[in-house]
Amino acid sequence: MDDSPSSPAWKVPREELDPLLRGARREMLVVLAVWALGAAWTIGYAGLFGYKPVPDDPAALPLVWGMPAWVFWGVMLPWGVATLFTLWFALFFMKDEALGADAALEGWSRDPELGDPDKATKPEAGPGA
Amino acid sequence: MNGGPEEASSAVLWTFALYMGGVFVLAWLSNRSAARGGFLSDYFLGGRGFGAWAVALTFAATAASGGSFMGFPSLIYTHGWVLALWIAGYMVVPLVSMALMGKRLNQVSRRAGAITVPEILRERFASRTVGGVATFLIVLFLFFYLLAQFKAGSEILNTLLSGTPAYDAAVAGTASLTSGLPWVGTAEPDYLLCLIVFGIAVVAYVTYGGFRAVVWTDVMQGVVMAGGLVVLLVLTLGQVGGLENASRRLAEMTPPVPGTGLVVRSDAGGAVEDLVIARGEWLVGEEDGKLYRLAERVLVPAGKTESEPAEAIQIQIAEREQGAGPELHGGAVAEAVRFRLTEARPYAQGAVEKGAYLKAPGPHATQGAGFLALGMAFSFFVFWPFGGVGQPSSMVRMMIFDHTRVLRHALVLVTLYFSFTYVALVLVFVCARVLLPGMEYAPDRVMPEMARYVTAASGVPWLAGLVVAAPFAAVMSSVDSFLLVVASAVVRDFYQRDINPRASEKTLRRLSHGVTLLVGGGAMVIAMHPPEFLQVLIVFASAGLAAGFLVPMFLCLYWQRMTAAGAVAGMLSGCGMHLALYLIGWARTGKFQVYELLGVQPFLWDLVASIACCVGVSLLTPPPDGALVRKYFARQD
Repeated sequence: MDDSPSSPAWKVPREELDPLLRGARREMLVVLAVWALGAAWTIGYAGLFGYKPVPDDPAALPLVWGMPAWVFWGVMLPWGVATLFTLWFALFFMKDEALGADAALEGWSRDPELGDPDKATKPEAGPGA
Repeated sequence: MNGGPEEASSAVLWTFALYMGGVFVLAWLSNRSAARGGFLSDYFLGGRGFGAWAVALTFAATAASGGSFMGFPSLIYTHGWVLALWIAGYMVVPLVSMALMGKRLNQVSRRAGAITVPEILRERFASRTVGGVATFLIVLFLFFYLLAQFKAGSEILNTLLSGTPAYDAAVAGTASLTSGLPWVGTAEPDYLLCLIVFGIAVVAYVTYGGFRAVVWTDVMQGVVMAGGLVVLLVLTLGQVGGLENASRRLAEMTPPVPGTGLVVRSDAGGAVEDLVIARGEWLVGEEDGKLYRLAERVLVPAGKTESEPAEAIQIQIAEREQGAGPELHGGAVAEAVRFRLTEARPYAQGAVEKGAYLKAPGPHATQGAGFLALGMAFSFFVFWPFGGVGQPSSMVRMMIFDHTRVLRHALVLVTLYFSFTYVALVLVFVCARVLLPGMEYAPDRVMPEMARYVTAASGVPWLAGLVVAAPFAAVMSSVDSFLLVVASAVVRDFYQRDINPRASEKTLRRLSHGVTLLVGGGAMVIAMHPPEFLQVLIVFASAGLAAGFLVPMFLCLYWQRMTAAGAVAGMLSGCGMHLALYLIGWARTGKFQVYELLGVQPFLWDLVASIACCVGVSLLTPPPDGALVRKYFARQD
């Protein structure tokens, strides 16, 4: 998110970034885009057609599958599309990545200032990565 | 209740007993299963070894609280199809709440060795202040939330069991046992009994089994919720003759007219005895011949011909006026009395409008703009997904898996689960208005009444038990998680980190059990006389917590330049903005009610404040330590 041209000392250069972080960031951007599309479709369609009066003649009632037409086209259809998209996203787009060692289980060395709870409970545990 | 009320009542009692038995068996099994890692990591995180089904169902069951199965149905009933738009944000809730930061949150929690949310923030910035602020906010907000959910759980249980002979006897027993006791004795005995049963059960299994018990009971509760809803959906659509039929009949309906009036005896001469008319009775209007439903219990004293002024709902049913109408749910019209309307208060939006229940913004008794103006619809599309991902209890659930495959599969399951649940709830309770007119007198009873009505009308009253267990399971699965989040904040983030870092395993075990017991027991005792404004506090606490945690957590995972000062500013400004909007609302209306600036939900303003302060303060303070940034952002070879 922070890509100034001359990299400051505290910053991890792009090529050294954690691969899971890069993958997670890519997926995060897709998620935000899908949310925005969903909001635009639903709020847009409902705003245009959901607030109109219902016709007096029961025969002219606009229904699709038993629900008001605006609910079907503006809520249920995008809901279905979002569901299918999420299934595809989870099964085919998201990458499997190693989550790394668990310092809570392995007793990583920590800043002594912060206190090291695991040292006290597991004195035998050495530093791990 | 149409047919088989005894069978339905005893079915509810049996299902409830069976359900509680299942909960305790699961807690016992969890306690016996092998521990992974140290005691705290296992007690508060289950040792991170859960599979996709467990992660999915604990996520879904924790997110769905009593509101989803009691409050949401009553809103659908009261305002109609517009609730589909209100809840539409749920189409992306699983995606946002699990894929926005789940993977990265898990990784960072591992690198930090963190088992709680404040611990992640504290380690990520190597700052006691950040951890301290996070712990303080979580304990404060979640305790209110816990209190409110204890109350909700007891009320739901009371609603479900009332009318069962064995339950009525137990209530009478409780009243005689507690009368005269300070604090306890002055609570309503039925509410008290339910609170004690509910409270002791939850506190016992959480204390005993820890996080693993919470997850496994959540799994069972998630299955009960879905199972109950499938039954309800099938029976309801069968009873109403299909969704299209329901929508067409709904289009003919206009909102009821709430009003005040007097209950008067039909024969003015024979007034020798007190006459009590129960809440929910149907009466005929003295002058207009319309149907009324009483919203309170009314007494017509002996020697008098009329009651004190009472609240009632005037029903507008076209078919009924033509003499054909639907059968009256809740019994026949009371013959001995009539209703004399003295003041009518028509709906501010949607009154006498046919089709009001089919369109936005939906009818509303007091708001002229209706139930859901377009700005509010957008606000909720932001609030559901982002308010969900900001909850510490759902963040914790991103830390409990060992492999990203589990996250991907859990995402599939949660998506299918939520899509079914929320769409099914809308369909069922849109139909409820057609099947059970006049439930505005007690909207919170819509869910249990529908369960009893459709199962009895379909000839399967014994199934009512399964259906009404669903909302109870929803509350219980939320309460257990919140209880553990509060306890873990006290034990891990406060005691172990700040008071006694060298505490032994045995001490920590005793302390964890003790704190869980104390927090749960304390919430239970206070909930006997819950503070006023409790319902508002639920909304306040959950949205405030999400407002405080979403932005700092999100940015700390993805933004290297963020600093400890930025994290504190982000948390305090998110929660602070939330508090400020409530205080402005208080100043303007004299009630604990939020101020909706520019007609949008406060959560949006909270997020704006939190982003601005988090980013602004980070950039104004010196850059973070390079080694710390490397630990969390660089590849570890």
